[in-house]
Order: sequence, then C-alpha cells, then structure tokens
Amino acid sequence: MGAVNHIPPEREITQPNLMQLASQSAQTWANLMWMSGGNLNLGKCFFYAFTPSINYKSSTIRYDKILLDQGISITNPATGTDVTLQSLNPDDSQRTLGVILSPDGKGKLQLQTTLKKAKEFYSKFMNSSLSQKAKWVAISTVIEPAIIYSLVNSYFSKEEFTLIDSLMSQIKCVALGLNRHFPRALLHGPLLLGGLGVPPTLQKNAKDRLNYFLFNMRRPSTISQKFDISIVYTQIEIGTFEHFFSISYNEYGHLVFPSYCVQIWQEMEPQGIIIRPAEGLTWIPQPLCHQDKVLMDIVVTVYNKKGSACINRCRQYLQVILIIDLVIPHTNIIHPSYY
Amino acid sequence: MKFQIITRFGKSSSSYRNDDDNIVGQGVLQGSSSAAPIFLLNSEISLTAYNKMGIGASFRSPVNGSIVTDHSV
Repeated sequence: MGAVNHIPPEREITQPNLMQLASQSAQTWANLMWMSGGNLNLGKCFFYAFTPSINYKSSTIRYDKILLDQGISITNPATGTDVTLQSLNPDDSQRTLGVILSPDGKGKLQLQTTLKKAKEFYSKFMNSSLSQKAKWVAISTVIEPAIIYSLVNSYFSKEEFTLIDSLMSQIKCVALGLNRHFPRALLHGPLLLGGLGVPPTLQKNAKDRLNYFLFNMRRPSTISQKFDISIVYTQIEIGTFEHFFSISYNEYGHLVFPSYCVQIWQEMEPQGIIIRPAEGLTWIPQPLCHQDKVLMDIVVTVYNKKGSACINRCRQYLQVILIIDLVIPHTNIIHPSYY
Repeated sequence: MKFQIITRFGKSSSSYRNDDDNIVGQGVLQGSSSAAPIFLLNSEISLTAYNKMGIGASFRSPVNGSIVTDHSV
C-alpha cells in the first residue's frame, strides 16, 4: 500500500526511520481492516525495499535490494502476536489484479504467462468445431482481450512480443477460413491497399495502452499528475523546444530512460500517430529569441547514438539547453565555467 | 446472518453464521449477496482513513515543484 519517502522535514531520512514509518503505515492498514470486520492475511503480505541506480554506460536503471537490519513488523490485531513481513527482491514479480508486476518494471514473467495462455488458446482453437462466425466472435470477445488485458501495463519490446503476435495471427487466419500461413502483409494490410485490415495484436495492445494514457490524462487525478511529472522529466532529458511526442523516437529515443510515456511514444511512431498536448497543458522549454539553437538538435545529427547520449548527460549535468547557454555572449567562445 | 445449504435432499441440518464470536474476522462470508456492497462500503471508509493516517509516497515535479502524494493504488 505505497512506498515511504514522504517524511516530515524535521525527521532525518535514515533506513531504520523508513522502516519504522512503513511499519506504522502497515499497522494502520491492518488495524483498519480488523476494525471493519476483516483480517489481513499477514502470511501473504510482503514488501519491497530497494534503491535505484543509473548505469550510464548502458543507459539502464538498476534496482538493488536494501539489506535491512530491521524489517516491517506488524502486531496481528486478531491474535496480538508480532509478525515480520517478507522482503522481496525488486525483480520478484507478484500477481496483482490479474497482472504480474514487479517494481523494476520488467514484464518478462507476464510475457511468459501470456505466451503460455496464447499457446493453450491456439491448441484449443485448432481443434475446435465452432463455426467460423463463432470463432471470430470468440477471438474478438474472449481470446484477444484475455491476451491484451494483462499487457497494457507491462514493458516489453516488439521482438519479445513476436511469438505471441504470430500465434494470434494464426488463430485469426483460421477463424477467417484462411491457411494459417496466409501472408501477414495481406492479413494486416489496410483495406485501401487490398489487405484484410485485421490489426496485429501488438497494435491492439498499443491502442489500449494509448487509451489508458489518454483516459487518465483527461481526468484529473493523482495518476494524471504523476504522468505530468513523468512527461516533464522526459522533456528535460531530451532538451528540445518541441514536445517529445511530436518528434521522432528513432532519432531521440536513445536520450531518455524508459517510462510508460516513453513506451507510448515508441509504439505510436510506427503507427504514424502523433500525440499533441493541448496548448499550455504540459511544460516545454521556451527559446529566449528566435535565433536560439537547441544543442541536442545539432548533436543528434553530428554524433552517433552512443556519442550523443554521452553529450546529453553532460548537458543535463550543466543544465543547458541552447547553444547560447554555453557561450560567452556575442562571441563563439565557450564559457570557462563549463569546462 | 445464518447460512444453510439446500439441495434436492432438503435443507442441511447444520449451518454456519458470521456473527459467531468464536470465529472472528471472517467478514461477511462467501455467498452472501450483501458481501459486495459491504466490502465496497468498508473499503471506501478504510481507504479514506488510510489516506489520512498513512505515510504514502511523494513525487515532485521538476518544473513547478508541486508534490503529488499517493497512499494506495
């Protein structure tokens, strides 16, 4: 039920303090449940305690479990006995509301589970005696939603999804009375160009992810506020005057760390979809004059991805966006304080 | 509330109930039609109370410094 870093300023942020506050929160929840006639099953309760660190060479974030002297312990309100909760590794996935998630954001276990489910559907579908129409209804109402549901909040690459997409395409071919090796270009191709216009499952998953994102962005809540914060961080990481959703992921994607918004940005580009935030809704840096040039716009055209990522990290450290931020006014000399 | 099972052989002679003081913390029991609304009511109150009493996690905007605090998902 939430992590702990909202600590009153007068209290020192120390590990025992964090655990004490987390224990206090957990005890509050256990007492509230008990008071309302329920009883928290403490044997099933667990917690994560970890510190994230950035590996600048590989541009990845690593999560290390904190080795604790003192864990989270709760007094069971039903029996009065003290119970110490289990501490898990940040990559330990747990099932929550039908989705297998872990704090490090990796969706490997969820993908494996979905793949297993897709294989089961596939074998049952191939031996099914349902009519073609019923098969198609089964795909659109049961099979595909069951596959996609759990993946909307999971991170994975296009390559990791290939096998699931392939199985789902075969199932769709069979439901349409086609050979399961029917050319994918025709199956997924647009009607305008002579295709059948059946979208791949990966595309449908991207659509659901976008729907979830837009639904939350248009409805003020703590989720939309957190999305706002995440978007601003990504915008700072890129350092351009254009909103990152409006520029090419292929050109600028290597400059940012992964997040839910970045995943949407990545998935929308191949579909030709550009998201434009309403005027003034999100923060973007503003040029001081019309002659200002953005440093990263030049860097990505001159250097390769590795080189431009290195320069971008230096740029973020120096907190500069424009060329003019770096030089002494009216000269071509870099300001001495930057080197 | 007292629960009995009825089959084609008739009503069961034994029963179970959720107001037995010896079996505490069993909620409203499975099968009760009032379980869902009671659970909703309890959850709403419990979560509201937890949001006020819990510690939560905070996220700070790097631009305007506004803080969003969440207690539960």
